Amino acid sequence: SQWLNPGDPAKIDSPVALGAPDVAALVRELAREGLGDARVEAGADGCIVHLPRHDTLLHVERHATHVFCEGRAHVRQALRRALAACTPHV
Amino acid sequence: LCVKDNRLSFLDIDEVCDEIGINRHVIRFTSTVRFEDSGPAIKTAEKLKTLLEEKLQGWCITISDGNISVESVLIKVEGDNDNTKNIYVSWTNQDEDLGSYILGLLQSMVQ
Repeated sequence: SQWLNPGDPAKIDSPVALGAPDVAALVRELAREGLGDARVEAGADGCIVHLPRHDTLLHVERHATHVFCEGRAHVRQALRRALAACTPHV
Repeated sequence: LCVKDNRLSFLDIDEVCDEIGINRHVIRFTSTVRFEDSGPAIKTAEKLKTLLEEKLQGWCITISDGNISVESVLIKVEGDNDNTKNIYVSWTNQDEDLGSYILGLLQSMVQ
């Protein structure tokens, strides 16, 4: 809808992550979501997962994962499902 | 809902994690919108804040040093006076609905 009311956002149906995603599992889950072009590079405190065809970078570190996504909303939703599938959460 | 100091309390998830000594893993998304607008970046940010206040009535929208905040959503404008501005929109996984709504609003504004 054009308007968004306070209280609407889905704070309760987004799992709260308690640890970093398993990167090997993340690459598998991304491929399952149709994002199969992942390249993984080791970094200082984690790694960078690059999806060049989808203009997306995931910086996976111990306490945070930062997703730079210039793709469309359906790409972001696929990324969210893949992260949820391989991240310890409550 | 938890028992704290022999009393039932409502705690948000950050407080619960602090109580039991768990570090949350924050998942944050960032996308960029390119916007043709001459003038200083801070003026563009002020226009965006006005637009968001109109569309998100009842939400607490703040601006500090040209950076706009709504819940976990952060909006930062960068660019020279006469050039295209880059608007960075960033939000946590828990604020997906609000973040994607604001991103969609800004994308529709520049089309």
